[in-house]
Amino acid sequence: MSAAVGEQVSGPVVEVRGLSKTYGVGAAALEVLRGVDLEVGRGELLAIVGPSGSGKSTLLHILGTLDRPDSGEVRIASRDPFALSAEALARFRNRSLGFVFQFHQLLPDFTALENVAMPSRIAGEPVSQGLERAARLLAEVGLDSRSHALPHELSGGERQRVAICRALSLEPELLLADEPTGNLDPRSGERVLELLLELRRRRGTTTILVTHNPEIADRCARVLLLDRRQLEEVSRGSRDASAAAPEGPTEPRVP
Amino acid sequence: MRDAMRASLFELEVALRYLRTARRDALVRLLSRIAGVGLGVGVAALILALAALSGFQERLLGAVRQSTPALQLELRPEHRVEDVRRAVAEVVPQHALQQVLVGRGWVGGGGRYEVAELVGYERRRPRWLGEALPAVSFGGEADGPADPDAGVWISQRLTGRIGLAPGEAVEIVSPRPHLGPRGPQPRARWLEVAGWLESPDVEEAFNERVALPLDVASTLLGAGDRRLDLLPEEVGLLGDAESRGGASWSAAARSDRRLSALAGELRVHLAEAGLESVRVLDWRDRNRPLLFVLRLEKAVVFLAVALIVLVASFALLSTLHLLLANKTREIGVFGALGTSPRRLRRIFRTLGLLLAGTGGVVGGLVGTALAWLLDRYELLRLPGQVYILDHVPFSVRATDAGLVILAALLLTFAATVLGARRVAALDVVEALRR
Repeated sequence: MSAAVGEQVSGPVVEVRGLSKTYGVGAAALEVLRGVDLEVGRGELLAIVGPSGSGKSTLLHILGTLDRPDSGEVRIASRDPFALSAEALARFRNRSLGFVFQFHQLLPDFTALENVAMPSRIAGEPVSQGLERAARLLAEVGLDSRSHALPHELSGGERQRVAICRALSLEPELLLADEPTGNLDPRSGERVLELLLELRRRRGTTTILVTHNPEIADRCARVLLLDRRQLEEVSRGSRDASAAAPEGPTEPRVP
Repeated sequence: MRDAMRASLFELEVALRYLRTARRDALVRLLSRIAGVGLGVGVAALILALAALSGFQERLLGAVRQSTPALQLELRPEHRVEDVRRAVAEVVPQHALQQVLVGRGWVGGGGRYEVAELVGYERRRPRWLGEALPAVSFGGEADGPADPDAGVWISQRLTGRIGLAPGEAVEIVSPRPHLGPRGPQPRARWLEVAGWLESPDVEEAFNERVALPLDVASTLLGAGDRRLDLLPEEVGLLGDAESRGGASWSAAARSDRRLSALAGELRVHLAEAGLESVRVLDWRDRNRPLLFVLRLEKAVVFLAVALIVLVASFALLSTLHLLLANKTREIGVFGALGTSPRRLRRIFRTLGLLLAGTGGVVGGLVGTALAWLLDRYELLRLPGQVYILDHVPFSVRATDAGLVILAALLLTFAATVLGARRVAALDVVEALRR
C-alpha cells in the first residue's frame, strides 16, 4: 500500500527502473533517457553530472513530477506519483518535493517572506503559520532584514537563498536542485551552496543536485554521470559529512 | 469548509496581486482599462435604457391600470347575479362586488351625438371610468358638490366633442329598440349630468365613457352585458384610481399577484358551483396584447444594448490573454510548487471576475445615478403637445439592475473560462523555461 503524502516511510526515497524519455516523433525524435535505473536512500546527497544536453534536467523534472516518462517505473517516497490524479499529484508535489532552480524562479509580485510561505499557502495551512515558518527560515539564512523586499530588490545570491528557503519550507521528502549556483558569481555560488548543504544536513533531506561543476559534485556523497542516455556511478563517499550521517530530520513532517 | 475558504482566499489574494501589478505594465494597464470602461459603459447604457423603458411602461401601465376594471366576473344571459354572488361569497364578501351593466350607445344633444360606452353602476361609480372633476361639476356652487356615487358622469373630452355646457342635460340613446306607434324606435333618455370624468390620455376609448345609475342603464340597455365588478379596496387590494395610479411599481406588482391569486380562487369556486362559464378577468387579462408588446420591447432593447457588454467582454478576454502571456513563467512556478490546474484556473477566473466586477459595479452605479438624476430633474424634455408625457421618465428596478450586472458578470465569466483553460493546460516545464 502506498504511503500518504508527506508521511515518513522507510526504504529508498527514490526508486527508478527502466526510465526512458524521448522528445518528438519520427525522424525528429530525440531520445534523452534510455532504461535509466536509480535508487536514492533516505538522507542521501546525490549529484548528477553530465555534459550539456545529456538529459540531466529532464531526469530531474521527471523525478520532480513536472514531466512524465515514456516508460519505466518511478517511485518517490514509496509512491508512484504518475498514477495519481492531477489534484493528488499537485498535493504530492507541494508536500513531498522541493525545487531549487538555476534561475531562482521567485514570484516577482510577492515579497521574499511571501515567496517562502507560498508552499504553505498552497497547502492550505493558516496564513500566520506559514509566515512564521518562513520568517524563521529567512532568519536562518540571514535574510530576516530583507523579508519584505520584492525579488527584484534582492541580489542574485539573496534570491537564491530565498528560493532554497522556499524549497525547504514544508520539509519535503526530496529536494531537487538544478544548477542552483549556475547563475551566480563564484563567491555567491559558494555561499549559496554552503547554505543549501547545511540546511539539508540539519533536516536530513534527501537531495539530488544536478550540476556540471565537478567541484560541487565532489562535495556530494554520490556522483552519477549521465551520458549517452544512461546513468553511471562515478564515485561514492564524500567530504560532505551529511552524506553519511544526516542530523535530521529533527522536526515532525508536515501532515 | 475552513480549508475551502482558505483556498478561495488564497486564489483571491493572488488574483488581486496580479491585478495590482498588471497596472504597472503600460500595455496591460491600457487594455484592462479599455475593457473595464467598455464593460462599465455597456452596463450603464443597459441600465439607462431599461430604466427609460420601465419609466415609460410604468406611466403607461399606471394609466391603463387606472382605466381598466381591476377584476370583473362576466355573466351570460342565463346566469343569475344572486347565484354568482353566492358561489363566490367565501372568497369575496358581498359588499366587495357590485353589479355593472355595459353597453354601447350614443350621447349628445342639440343635434350632435357621439358613440360612447355606457356603464350602469349599482352602488358606486366605478373609479376605472375616470376621476371626478369636482371643480367643474354641473349645477353650480349653490347646489354643492355632486355626489360622486350618484347621477350621470361623462368623460370630459366627450362633453367637449358634443359641445355640452355645464348645467345642461344630455340625451343618452340606446340601440335597443322599443316598439312605438311608428315602428321600432331607439330608446332614449334625457338626463341631467352630475359631473365630468377625467380620463388618462393613453387611449381614446377611455375617453368615451358614461357612468349612469344601474336602473337607468337597465331601461336603456335591458339585460345587456352584466358583470360583477370587484371593489378592490374592499378586499385590501390597491384598487381605486388614486391609490393604483400613485402606488409604487412594487406595491402595484404585489397587488397584481394577489389579484391573480384571487381570480384563480374565484374560478375554482365558480366551477364548483357549476358556473364555470362565468368569465373572470383581471386588468391584465384585458390588456394581454399590450403587456406582451411591452415585455417584448424590453427584451429586444436588452438584447440590442447587451451587445456593448459582449464586445467589452471580448476586450476583457484579450486583456486576460495578455496577462496570461506575461505570467506564463509564474504559472509554471505555481505549478512546480504544487498548485493544481483546477486552482490555477480559479485564480485566473477570479482575476477576470475582478476586472469585470469593477467595470460592472461602477457601470451599474453610474447608470443608476444617471437615471435618478434624469428622472428627478426631468432633464430629457419631450414636447408635451405631441406626447402624453413632457419628459422621459426613468425608473431603475432592482431586478433589472441586478439582471444587467449578473448578465455582464456571466458574460465576462464565460470569457475568462477560455483564458483559465489555457492556464490549466500549460506545460509547467515549458512555462518555467520562458
